[in-house]
Amino acid sequence: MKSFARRRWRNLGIALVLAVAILVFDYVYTLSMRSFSYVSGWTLLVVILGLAAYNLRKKLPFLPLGSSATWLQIHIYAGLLTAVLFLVHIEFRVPNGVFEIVLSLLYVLVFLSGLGGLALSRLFAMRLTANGEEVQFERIPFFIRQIQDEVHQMVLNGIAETETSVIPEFYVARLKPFFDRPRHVWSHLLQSSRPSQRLHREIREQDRYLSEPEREVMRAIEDRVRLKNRLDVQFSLQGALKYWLFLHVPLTYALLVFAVIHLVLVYAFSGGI
Amino acid sequence: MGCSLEDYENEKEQYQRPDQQWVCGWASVGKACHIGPDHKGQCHVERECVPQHDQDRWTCTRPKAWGGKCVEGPLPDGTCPHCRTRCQPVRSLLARRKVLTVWVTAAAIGAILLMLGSEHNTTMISPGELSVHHRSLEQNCESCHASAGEDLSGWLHSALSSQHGLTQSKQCLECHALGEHSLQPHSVEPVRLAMQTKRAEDSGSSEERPAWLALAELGPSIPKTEQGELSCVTCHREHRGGEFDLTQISENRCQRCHAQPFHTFSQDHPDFVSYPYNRRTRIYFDHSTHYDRHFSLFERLMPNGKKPDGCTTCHMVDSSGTRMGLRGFEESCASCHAGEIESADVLPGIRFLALPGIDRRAGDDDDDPLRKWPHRFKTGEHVLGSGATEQLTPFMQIFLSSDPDFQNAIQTLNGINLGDLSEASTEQLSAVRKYTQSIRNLLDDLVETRQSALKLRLQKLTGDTVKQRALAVLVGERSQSSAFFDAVTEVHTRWFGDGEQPASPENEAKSVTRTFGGWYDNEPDYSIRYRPSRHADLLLQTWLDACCRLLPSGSKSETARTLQERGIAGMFDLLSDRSSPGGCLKCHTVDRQHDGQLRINWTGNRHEPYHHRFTKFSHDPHLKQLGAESCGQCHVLDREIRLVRSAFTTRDWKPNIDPGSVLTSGFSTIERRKCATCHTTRSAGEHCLQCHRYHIGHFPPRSSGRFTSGSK
Repeated sequence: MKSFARRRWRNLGIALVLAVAILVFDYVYTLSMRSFSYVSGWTLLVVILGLAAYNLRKKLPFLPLGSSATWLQIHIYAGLLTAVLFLVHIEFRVPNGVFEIVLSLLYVLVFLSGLGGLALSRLFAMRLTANGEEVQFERIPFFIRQIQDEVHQMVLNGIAETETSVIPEFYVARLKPFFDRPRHVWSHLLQSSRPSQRLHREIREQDRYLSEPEREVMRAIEDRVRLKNRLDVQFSLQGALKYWLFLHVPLTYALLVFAVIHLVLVYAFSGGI
Repeated sequence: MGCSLEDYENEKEQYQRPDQQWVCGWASVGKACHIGPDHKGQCHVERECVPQHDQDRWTCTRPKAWGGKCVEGPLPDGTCPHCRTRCQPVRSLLARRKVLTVWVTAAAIGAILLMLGSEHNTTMISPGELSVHHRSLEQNCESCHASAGEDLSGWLHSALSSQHGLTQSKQCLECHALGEHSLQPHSVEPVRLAMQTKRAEDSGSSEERPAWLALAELGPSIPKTEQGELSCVTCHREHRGGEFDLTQISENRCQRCHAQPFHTFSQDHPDFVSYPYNRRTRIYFDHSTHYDRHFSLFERLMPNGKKPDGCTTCHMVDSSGTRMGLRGFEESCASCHAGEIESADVLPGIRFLALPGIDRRAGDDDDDPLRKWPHRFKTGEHVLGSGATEQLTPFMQIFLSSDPDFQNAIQTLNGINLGDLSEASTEQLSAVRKYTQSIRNLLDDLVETRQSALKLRLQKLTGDTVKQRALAVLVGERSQSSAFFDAVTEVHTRWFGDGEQPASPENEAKSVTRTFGGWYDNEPDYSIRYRPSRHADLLLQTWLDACCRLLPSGSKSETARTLQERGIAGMFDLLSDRSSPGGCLKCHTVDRQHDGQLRINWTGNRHEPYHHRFTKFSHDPHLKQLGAESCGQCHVLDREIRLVRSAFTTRDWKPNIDPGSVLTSGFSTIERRKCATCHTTRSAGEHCLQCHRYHIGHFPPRSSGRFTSGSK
């Protein structure tokens, strides 16, 4: 952990120094009657292309391009630095042309989604660890199906052994939808246990209608409910960690398209440097 | 009591290939097959297993998820007996993200094409609103952007071109006329700028350079062309909204180019050298002498005069509020000086017309015109300056110079003393006759055709140099109406008779001088003279201006060659003499301009509306702030220096025509520290553009004719 903190402070320090250097260079460059927007624009474009290259790097693990962890660190801090570059590029003003508003919005969305992804990867990683077992996202439906089959069998066995229909009815009404697929996604994202606690409460409320053997069955079912709940947590958190890229990556490409056209327009209509 | 996922980790052959494009359709319900779809996303599974051949028997390989090994086992031919419905493969997460990326990129390209292809594409790509001054150009991008009318390929071409900066600047200059050196720094010619830079560098600066500027010098150079030109956009950035000030610039940016940078105005701006005086005053007025002597002895010297209460008695803010102008002669000076002009009746007037005198013995007989000449010298009288040209007034020299006979006669009579023709040859006598006849012809013309004769003669000489209105004044059309011609008619009758009445007896002394407005005939010297009756006499003013315009550039009366030039120079000398009635040039200075022409300063410092100087100052707000009589706070009378007369007249009392002969008006240079009393960052402000302009020169407005409304 110490090394993580050290790395963070070191990288943050480098980013801060670079940010200050950008601001100083902007002022000095402007003093020479030149527009720093050209320099900052090109730098921004090159940095964004470099950031987008991280996606490519992940697809080429066999090439000696440095570790993915290093790339990720560069991606994060260079991404943060683009905010400074962007603000300097737009001269700390809100753009007011249609094209430039769209371009700026795209950048802001990409940046914020990146920030969001960074936050998710830090917060959700801790929560996943606290959740207990690690499970592959793609295997979660498999585990859910197995638990579902098991509980289904337990209910069927109970019908044969007991004469009441409390458990089967409760299973059909409340438990089967729960075991069918991942549930309470948003609650788990928001770290709310209210839905699962409500289900457990309902399970407990059935106790007064059950005989002792039935209670045993219900306890076993409740254990599966807890396990299923943990799987749901995994599904929600891991899903978020995968789906946020659905915002970040496509918008990056749209941003690059708009940036290239912006480049052409700037130089075509430029009145000089 | 709890269970864990380890309890279910008994099937590891589950199909999990998230990096591929397609996954089994049953994967979402946890029953993915172990084969999976192909790369095209098609499922080829028809049976629940692919039996494995083990030695001589076939073994079922159905996955546990599907129920494990079947009881029946494979058929003898190795076929699985259990059919399975094919799944509908779905894209993996990665593939879905890729598809979404493609769609979003395509949508972005589509949006761009829509923007660029729409009717309002320029509005779409415009980076923002124009400033309020250029708002009318918002639908007309070609006004400023050379490549605005092109398509995407044209923009690409422009983008790769290296000259669009200057090309675009030339578009700006279509409307903004900034002189011949528009794109040079300060719109000033490079030579002049280099001189000022050298002067600044030589004067040196003891203060250290501000840190930011020292740092900037390590950075890139200022973007100039080889000829030293800057594009307009270097300082002026558009498309920043209606309220944006296009002329704003930081002080540090201003100083980036300057040889003497400083921190702030109040701190270490270079001290003023001669501000605001860069030439002598246009009206010769010595403040010190007036304040210390004349005004203090007012009651004794000028009992009828009006003593000024303060500066504002004579000075007032002009209509623009920037300059202090003079109130005019009537308000400021007349109470003391009007008498000098009006009492000129004690001085002889200006000789406009005069008959030259000739030897009374000249002439063969009584019918000889020479015998009938009115002005003949007495026998034995030797008159100095009685040469043919010397006796002519400048006025007559000008109007007779168009007569070829007169020109020839003058040449023949060069050096001849008209007062003694006893030894004159026949040829010379003939020339004298022509000489006198020409003068007679002039007088006859004046009597018969009046202004027309003079106008014709003058137009022949001046061409278009003198305008019609001035011409009319010169020949007496406007001033005193026909007084001059009435005077000429009167003397003509007296001198030559009118056919019915004989000429008056020669040299008959008359005690009465007839007057015709400002004109009067002076009988003893056979002349018509003029005296101004008031200040700003139009006739004298117009003649002086005409002489300045007609005098060849650089010429003086001594170097004048032709009769015409001598006449004009002589007229100027006559009217500019300090003893000349009116004494116009006693107070009104004469400047030689850059083109060599002379110009008389009839008024004080004039506001030139299209002339932009480096430094600007507006009196009105300062007077309002400091009080109407606060002039002395900035303009301190320098009693050590009297405005020397040599700055205004030469040793022989001719006008000094060098406007730069002295750089003072009798006041000390304004000190920077006085301005810095108020002009600090926290108080009145000390930005460069408050007091300085960038574009210097004379810029009359120009219409490009581009913005017609099209209305009929």
